[in-house]
This record gives sequence, C-alpha cells and structure tokens, in this order.
Amino acid sequence: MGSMRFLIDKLIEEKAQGNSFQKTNVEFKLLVKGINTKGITDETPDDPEILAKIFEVAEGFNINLKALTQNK
Amino acid sequence: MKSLFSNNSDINQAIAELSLQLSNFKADFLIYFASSNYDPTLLAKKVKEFFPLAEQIGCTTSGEISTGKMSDNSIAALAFDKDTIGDFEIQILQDVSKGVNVSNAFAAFENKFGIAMNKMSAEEFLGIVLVDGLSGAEEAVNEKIGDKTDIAFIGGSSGDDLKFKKTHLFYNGQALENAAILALIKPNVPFSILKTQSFVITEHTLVPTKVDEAKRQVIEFNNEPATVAYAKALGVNEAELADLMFKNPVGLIFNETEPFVRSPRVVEGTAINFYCGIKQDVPLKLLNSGNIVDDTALALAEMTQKHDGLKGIINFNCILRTLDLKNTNQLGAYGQLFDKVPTVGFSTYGESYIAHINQTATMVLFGNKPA
Repeated sequence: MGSMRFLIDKLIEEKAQGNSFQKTNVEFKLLVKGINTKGITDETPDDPEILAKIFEVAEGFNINLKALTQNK
Repeated sequence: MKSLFSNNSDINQAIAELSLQLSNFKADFLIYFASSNYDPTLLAKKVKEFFPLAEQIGCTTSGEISTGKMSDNSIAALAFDKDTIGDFEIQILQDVSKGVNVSNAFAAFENKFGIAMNKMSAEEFLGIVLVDGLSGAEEAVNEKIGDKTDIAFIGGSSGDDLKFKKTHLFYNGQALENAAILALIKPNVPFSILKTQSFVITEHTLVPTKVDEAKRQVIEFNNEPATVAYAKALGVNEAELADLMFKNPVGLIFNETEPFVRSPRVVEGTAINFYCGIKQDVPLKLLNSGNIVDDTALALAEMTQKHDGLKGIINFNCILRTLDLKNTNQLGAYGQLFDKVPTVGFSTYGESYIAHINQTATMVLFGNKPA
C-alpha cells in the first residue's frame, strides 16, 4: 500500500477547504500538472517521481503537506 | 456596456469611428482587440489619446469578433461603465518567457481589494488574462495563477494574423511584448464562465510515454513513435495523419465528460508538436470534431436562459475554430450567434481557463442586474 492517494486527498482537502466546486477545480489543476488523481488508489505503490511532484505542487499552493501528514 | 467596431485601415480614422460610436457613454474600462496589421505602438498610443479616462487592455489578434460578426483587419472593443464592471485592478507580468511570478501582481490585487487572493470568492471576482501568444509561457501563467487563487481567470493568447512573427498586448497606451496582462474585476452584475468546444470523446486512449515538455512535443504515445500510435488510433496511414489531426485532436478528459483540448501542430519526424504543453503519462483521448456553430449556439442558449438574457460577452475563440468555420463557410453563422448582445473577442493562439487549451472558446458572459 502506498501513500500517494492519502497525500493527494489531503492536498485537495486543504486547498478546497470544504468547497465541492473548488475540490473539482483542484483535481483538475493536479491533472494539468501531470498528477492523474483518478489513476492513483491506496493500493498504488509509491512512485518517487510522483511523490516529489505532489510535494512540489503542495509547496506551490502554500500548503505544508509534510506537516499535515506527519502523523500518518 | 457598449461594443465598438471599425475596419478602417487608417488608425486615426478607425479610432475616431470608435469614439463616435461611444458617444456619451462614460467608459471606465475598455477592452479592445485589433489586427496585427495596424502599427501596434501607434494604435495603443492613439486609443489612450482618444479614450483618456478609460483604463484599457487588449491585444493583437488573428481575427476579431464583435457584435454579430467575425472580421479581419479591424478593431473590436467593448466599453464598460461602473454599473457593470464595478471595481478592477490591472497588473502586468513582464518577460514571461523567462519565468512567471505572480507575487507582485497578486499583492497589488490584495492591496486594492483588501482580501487575500486565496480567500476571494469566485462568485464575486473575475479574472481576465491575456498572454503574448508567441511567448510559450501560457502554461506557466495559468498554473501560477491557479496555485494562488480560486478565482477563474479567463482569456486568450494574442495573435498576429497567422504570421507567427510578433504579437503585442495593449495596456494604457503601451504595446507590450513577451508579457501577460492580468485584470482582476469585481463586476456589479452576475456573470458566468463558458468553456465550449465541439468534440466527441472517442474510446481511443493515447498515453504520452515520452515527451519534451519544453518543446510541447510528444515523442512517443503508448510506447510507440507518436505518429505510429496516433495514426493507429485514427485508423489511417501515417502519411495521412498531418491532414487529419486538425479534425481529430486529443483531449485531457476531466470527470469522464469534459475535454480540455490539446491540438497537434505539426509532425516532426515521428514526433508530434502540439499547440500546448503535454504531460508525460497523463492519458489523453482521441476526439472527433462536431459542428462548432450548433454546439456554441446550444451552450449560449443555456447561459442566456440561466441569466434571463445577457448584457455582454467577451469571447476568446481559438484560431483553429475560426479556420474550421472559414473552411466550412460558417464564419457568418458563428458571428450571428452574437448579434443580440454587445460582444468583443478575437481569434486566439490559445485559450486560458485553469490551463492553456486549444480549439476551444472561453467566454465571459455578463448577465443583467436582478430587478
């Protein structure tokens, strides 16, 4: 089991702040940046390149994903 | 809101005609699109001279759109008063091909409106973005905007009448190159964003397995040379591909139904260069083209009904759509879709809505104030 799905969900949740329309928007923004959220499940093994991309996107969003997920 | 138009080839006379059409209307904000065949520096200067009180943005084009018609070698403008546009702030990004940083622009927006950009409501605020269509910076501009705000920035890339030599943006008397203009607006009327394209999603998937992002080039699809896989998906010979790609671009599909079109530009060996950036390993679907006029009419009708009538339209229409309309003798019919509402727009080198996209029309639709 990988951590990418968990990180993506956390990123979307934090950026959208409970707004369902924005949740959709954030998912699309991730797709445009090369993160195919639909193709990543809890069972998808971690890919270092995609993991790095997720953290890079989080930084661009001004979201400290490491701090938010440190208890995982 | 008032739309203005002239196809007079003399700049002074053309702007005098626009000025006459404006009459006593008090314009606070002017957006204008003009053929690159006008001298851009002189045009920007003269527009500011004739309309000194209006803040103004615009760009050169590959064809203009005004109320009820599509044209070439002309100037189309839309003037807004305070009743419609409310408050606004314009910022310029310079040297965008060298890198994009929206921090200063966004700080100016926050200073103007007193709200952090990531807290502004997408229902209250609207962004317009114009990017130099030959800068190659559209992906970065759209992504940087989207990183920092939920506000929709709608727009297009400037053109130069298909010469692909030099395009210009206009800002308050200046003609700018290698720049982007961001306008943040707080309209006083309801508004909607419309993104429309005329394609049917097919079952054929093309995964870009090897790309050169900087060149917007796909080297391999599905682990095969790009032209081989694309031709296979289309069911044609590779030799026929170049002629058919225009009608069969690929789309980044969101929520299974919404295509964000990526248009092939040219075949280079066995690689394919696109009009916008392609990300490796993100699946694309092959698209089949439909009828632009019919699909746009339907989309506009829905929006007209939603707003109980429209007050104005800004239309960023892909040049590839315009060429398709010309090829199918539908240019007049498309222009007629906008004959009842003050309209401005242009044929772009790419459209902006969250991302840099192709073969699409992105529009801002202004509704009427509730009674």
